[in-house]
Amino acid sequence: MFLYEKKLQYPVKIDKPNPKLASVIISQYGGPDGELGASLRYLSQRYSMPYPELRGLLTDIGTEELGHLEMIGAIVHQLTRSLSEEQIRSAGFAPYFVDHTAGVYPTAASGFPWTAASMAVKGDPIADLTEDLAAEQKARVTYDNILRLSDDPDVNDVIKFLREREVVHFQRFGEAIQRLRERLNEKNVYAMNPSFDIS
Amino acid sequence: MDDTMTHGCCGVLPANAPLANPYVPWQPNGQPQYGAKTGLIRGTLFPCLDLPFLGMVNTEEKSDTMMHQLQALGFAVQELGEYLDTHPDDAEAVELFRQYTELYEAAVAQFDRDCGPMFQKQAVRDGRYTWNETPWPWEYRANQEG
Repeated sequence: MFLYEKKLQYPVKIDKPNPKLASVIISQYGGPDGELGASLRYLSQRYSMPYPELRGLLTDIGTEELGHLEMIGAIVHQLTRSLSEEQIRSAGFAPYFVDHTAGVYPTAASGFPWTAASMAVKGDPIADLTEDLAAEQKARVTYDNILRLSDDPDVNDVIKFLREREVVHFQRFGEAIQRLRERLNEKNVYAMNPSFDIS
Repeated sequence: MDDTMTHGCCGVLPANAPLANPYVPWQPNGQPQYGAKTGLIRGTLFPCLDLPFLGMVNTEEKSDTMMHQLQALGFAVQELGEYLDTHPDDAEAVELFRQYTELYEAAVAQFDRDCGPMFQKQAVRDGRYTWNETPWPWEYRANQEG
């Protein structure tokens, strides 16, 4: 089960509202490579993942991603706090505002709502862990792009932290594949699907 | 090519690696680490994994509020926990994990005494329910302590 800790993983304290920036950062809440998809991907892949250490890693990283989802929600919330009507009209925020006001909704920056089609659970450990490597890289690039677009130091402080977590998680998933390989037939790791063929 | 290649400060690839497999270099046991406060702002405890974009780096550590201390210690526990999932035989890291969890538990107790509950199960004080008396984590503002 999950137990709530009344804190963010990393502090989010943003001085200036910036709805335009919020309308970009929302992609890491509900976009194709965002934190909602990340947490659901890992927490869902756990069930068919063989071997306790691999289930543990998916549980721990999936849980951390839920904390990242909360941090992105906090950024969007703080960037859209106390907006004037003029700010809403002038900042390119109107398309989001008309549907969600200043609420936090899982959508891509393009306006496409969050979809499970942006994640995968294949039920095969090499396929799933390789998906996870790619997912971490795509999230890393999204944070790179946010750093290119944002000149708000309070936001960038947090984005640099989140971006680095993607790098670390890529490393851990790569090591998970090595651990998996040690458990399988060295000559042919594809000889069977240990999620399905070993009970 | 050597059987075992190392790259930069830390990675190791397996000898005689089977074809058609994905590989990420292995992080060997016992790599140097930042302290918890530096680790928090860098996003990792491991200098070898600290790979910033366009030279954009957080250099200023968070102030010493109780919340920031909790966040730094909590981060160290989380980072080492994930590391130990793939490196359970790194005894030094196991010991460090134990020490950080102890410090974290003490900081949670201190936070509960001085600021308010971190967990709902702590949320009774003098016969009063206190869970909703402190700000929610997304409600903080710039220059606000906590």
